[in-house]
Amino acid sequence: MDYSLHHNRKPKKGGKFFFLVAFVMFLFFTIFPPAFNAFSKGMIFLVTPFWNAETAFERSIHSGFAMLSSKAALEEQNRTLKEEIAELERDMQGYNMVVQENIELRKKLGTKKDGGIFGNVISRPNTTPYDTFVLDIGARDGVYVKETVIADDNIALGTVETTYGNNSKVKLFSSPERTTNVILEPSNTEIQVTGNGGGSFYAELPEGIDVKKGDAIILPGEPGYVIGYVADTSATVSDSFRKVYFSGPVNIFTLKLFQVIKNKGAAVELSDSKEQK
Amino acid sequence: MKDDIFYKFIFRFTGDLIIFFSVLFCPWWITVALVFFAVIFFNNFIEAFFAGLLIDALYGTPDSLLFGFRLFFSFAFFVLWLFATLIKRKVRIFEV
Repeated sequence: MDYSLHHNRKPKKGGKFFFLVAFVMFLFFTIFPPAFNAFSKGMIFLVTPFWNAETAFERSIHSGFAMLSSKAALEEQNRTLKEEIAELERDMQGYNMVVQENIELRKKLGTKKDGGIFGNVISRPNTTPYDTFVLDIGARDGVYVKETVIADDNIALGTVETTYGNNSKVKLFSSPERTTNVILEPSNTEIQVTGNGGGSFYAELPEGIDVKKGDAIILPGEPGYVIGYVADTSATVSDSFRKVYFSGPVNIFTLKLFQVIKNKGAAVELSDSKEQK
Repeated sequence: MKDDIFYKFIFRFTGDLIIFFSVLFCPWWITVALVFFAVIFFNNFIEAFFAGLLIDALYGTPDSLLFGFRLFFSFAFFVLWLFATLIKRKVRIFEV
């Protein structure tokens, strides 16, 4: 046995070879981004069955637990749900009136909301370190780069950055250091917010701008999709500026369904670039 | 001796699988922690670089702003592997 404290081992066989392989690949992908795009596309294609299997497994687990619920618990749940339905039906009457009024107002204003494409989330932030989502819809479903992605009908979350045959990658507005022009409501002030990761944003605003907790920030244009609400206004940067923090309206870590909206910006950008990324 | 090589292979292959599935399903920081331990305990754990490449390929976007370039995790894990390899030449450490 060797108890010597001196230990200056020679490198084991294969070390230099592995180093060279990794180094050459790294250089190749850095110098030729299209090669990395192709590699990325291939990897997405290969791992999609694993993601789909996870989704199916998750669903079967949920249905399995539902079957195991006790009768008493089900009766209690049934009673609660009936109460909720009655309450929702009452709310629905008011909601229908508002929707009808909204449609009529839109007709009068001459605006038209294009239909979107629904897609399921197959990978979301926390697993993805870049604040990106991977969706199960892609170019074959009519998804284009730079189209806006929304959730819950009126909450904008990000834009499509890359599309593949059956998948697409969505980059959130809250991605670190991503800047977005938004309108601060109700003061109707145009400001620029910067992504902070995890569905949050920040902005440095002049002291003169009236901003308080709960104020909404919306995307410019029609319809104005909400992207966040003021969460904190207390941080001061200097005498004339203060740092305002915003949080997203939904929990991005639990979202399962997205809608990709056909917007004019995407069409313009696509016609300029003439190709999909 | 043959058994020893066989068990080493199985152990390493299991480690590779765990890291692969953590890239797909676990929060990214768990993958980082797993890769960190793997480069210490396995000899020449070049799979670290490929795990980084997989993260960048699956989740990175063409204009990723994280430190300015797309292969951030590949680079980080490559450097980690390089450091671990160099340091392990100078220190006594249990290694598979």
